[in-house]
Amino acid sequence: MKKKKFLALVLAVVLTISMVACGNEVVENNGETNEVAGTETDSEAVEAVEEVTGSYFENIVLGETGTDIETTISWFNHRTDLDENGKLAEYIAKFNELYPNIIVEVETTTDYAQDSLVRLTSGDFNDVIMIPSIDKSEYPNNFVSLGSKDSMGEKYNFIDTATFDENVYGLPYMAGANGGVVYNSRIFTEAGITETPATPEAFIDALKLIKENTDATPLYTNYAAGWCFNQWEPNIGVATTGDVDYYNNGLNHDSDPFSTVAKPIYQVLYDAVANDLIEDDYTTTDWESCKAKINQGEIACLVLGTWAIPQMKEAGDKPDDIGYMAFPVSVDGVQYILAAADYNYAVNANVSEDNQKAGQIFVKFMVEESGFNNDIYGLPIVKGGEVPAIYSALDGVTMLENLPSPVGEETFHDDLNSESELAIQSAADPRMCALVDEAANGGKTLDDIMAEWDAKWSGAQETLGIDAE
Amino acid sequence: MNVLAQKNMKKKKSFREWIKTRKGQQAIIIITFTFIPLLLLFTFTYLPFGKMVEFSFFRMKYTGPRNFIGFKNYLDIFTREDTLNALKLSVYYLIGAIVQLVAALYFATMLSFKTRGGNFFKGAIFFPYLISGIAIGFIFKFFYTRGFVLDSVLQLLGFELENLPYWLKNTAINNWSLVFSSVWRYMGQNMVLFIGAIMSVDVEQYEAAKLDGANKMQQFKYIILPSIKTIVLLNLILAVTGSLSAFEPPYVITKGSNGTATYFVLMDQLAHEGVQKVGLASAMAVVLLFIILIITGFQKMGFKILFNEGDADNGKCKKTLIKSFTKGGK
Repeated sequence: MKKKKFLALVLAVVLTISMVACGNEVVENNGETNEVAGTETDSEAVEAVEEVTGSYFENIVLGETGTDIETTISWFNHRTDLDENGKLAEYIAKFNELYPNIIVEVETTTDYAQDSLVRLTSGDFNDVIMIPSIDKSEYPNNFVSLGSKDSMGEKYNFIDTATFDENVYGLPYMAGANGGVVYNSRIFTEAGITETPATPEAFIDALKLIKENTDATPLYTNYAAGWCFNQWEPNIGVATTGDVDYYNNGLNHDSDPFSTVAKPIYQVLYDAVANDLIEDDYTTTDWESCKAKINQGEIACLVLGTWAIPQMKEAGDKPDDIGYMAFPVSVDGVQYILAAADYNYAVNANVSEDNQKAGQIFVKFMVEESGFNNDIYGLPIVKGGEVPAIYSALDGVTMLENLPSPVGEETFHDDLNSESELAIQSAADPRMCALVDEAANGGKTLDDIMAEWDAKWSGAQETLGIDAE
Repeated sequence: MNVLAQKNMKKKKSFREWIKTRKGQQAIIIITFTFIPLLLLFTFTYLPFGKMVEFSFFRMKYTGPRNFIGFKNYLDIFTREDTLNALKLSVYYLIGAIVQLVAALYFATMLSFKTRGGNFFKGAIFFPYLISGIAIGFIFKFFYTRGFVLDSVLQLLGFELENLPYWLKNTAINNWSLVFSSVWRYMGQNMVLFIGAIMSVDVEQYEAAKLDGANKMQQFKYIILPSIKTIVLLNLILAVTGSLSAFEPPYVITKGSNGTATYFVLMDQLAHEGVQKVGLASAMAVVLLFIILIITGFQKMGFKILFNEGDADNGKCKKTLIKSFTKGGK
């Protein structure tokens, strides 16, 4: 018996020691990598000050800088479609003409938002990655700073989304207009709609005309896909107020945004559902097949960003029928639409120096010389670039870019999103699906729902101690 | 003192010798062999579980700072409307599970005796269990889509499409639609467990019963059912824990919309994507664990009273208890 007890003790001791040892090791490693990353960026900053102005990234001359680097970098992104059709490989082949010694491996996934978050949280992720929705305060721990906000801002558009603490950590792979309506122009003509609707009432009337005069589904909600509802919410702010300081600042300090500023957005959805102007069985919608349906005129319109246009055009044999208009709200007779950056390229700050440099060279190439952004109808990232023809449909609509959050309040939006559980633009679907359910079943009124959301929003402001009125 | 020291000396000396004996060698082998599994068990089950319990006392996201807020998350769970509603949804799955068990028992009894095409039916009924839950979700999503599989079949039988309900849109029936997909999937597994148990019943008992004039129903009631009591209990407990933790059908088919968000789906919504209330979701998991423990305890007591004999089952019940314990923890 004693021997057994002794053995049990030994076993327990061994187990604990091994666990303690593991724990220590992890901590040590973290400390080391952080240190290395820290000193590297420090020394880079020092070098930059001593030699020339600007960061390593800004001073890259494509085809000249870093041609001696021999390494393999991996790039993790969400464009499974372009990976499968070989488009990404074309850009990389173009890159390898300049840098034959830098091998780029591409990894893509359909559930990028989630997968990338998991990788980033674990600390073990690819050399070049598209920044997922993490708190901005985490950027310096994970990504290489590409340059200061001021000097990058002179050369590039849309730098604000990846800027934290005066440093730019990423550049968008494309930028577009958000929150507008992709529509089938043929169906609109057939229905007898002559003017682009600019108010919620005019839009609902147009949908009614479509229902009467054509066989098409007037408005397709993509209810079952869920994430499509996030596409409605860029309109909070710019489209509904014309105020570029609202979304990242005013909203955080507004105690009742939903019953005032944001209401027209939800009004459109609520009224469309209540008047039976959406798909028949919304619980079984399918994102993939909606693309072909709008191309063929079975669907009249969808609320989406311009990023979706190429997919809708390619989904069938009538690409020219696809049009894009601003979300039907006006402020004093003027329509606004939000222009914004999509996913940002960022370079991992916890890999070897060579890989960090190669990653930055690759990002610079993709942004400036690959032509990628232009091929997918993006607004120019480099200042002075060409604007694609598709944006002519938005003539007369003012395109605005949101201002970034004020210094010291960068995390307010994310914190409120989490605390209130409203998850504006990041996981809007449970909330928006509930709105559709209520509208369809004649439950709560829109005012009730808006008041509920406001209560959650202001409750979160109170919990987090954010001033609001 | 002296004696103790002597004893220690003696022990040390004898340990060396002892290690060379057969028993000592056995012990070494046992330790070396159990070390890795125990380590894995600890790292991948108990350590994450401990962490989860720890998280439940914080207001935190995956990254960023963590604020200790005591039992606030637990209080929130019991004051929120959605968590309580989610628990109520379990009743649908529980009723479904009972129907499933009765059907499984029926088929198992039928197929344990010589039936024409018995093996075929065994395979056919068990088959859905082999398909992944996600795939089943997609199958049923299209199955229930307006004008698709189910509607077409019913139309062939003479129903008019206009008179058919929207299987997933109509809030009066959409939870039953989801429950059905779960019953379809798990009935085969229950049936196979029952068949296994029924096979162990001594065939001579049936003959004896027949000679005494017992019919099939009586044979089932007095021979089969008492012999497979343990398995029935096991399946019942699994059914309860399963219905409390129903996840795949609502997650894949409806994404928890339209009043179908079960406890697990809600937990997923709160823990991931834009919300990231990791602390609250962890607290929900801990609460679920306790609910399952309590219900399992009651069930065991109930069975003890019902059959007035718990001893024979005791070992197995304990195992089940542990099983549900770890399941709830995940």
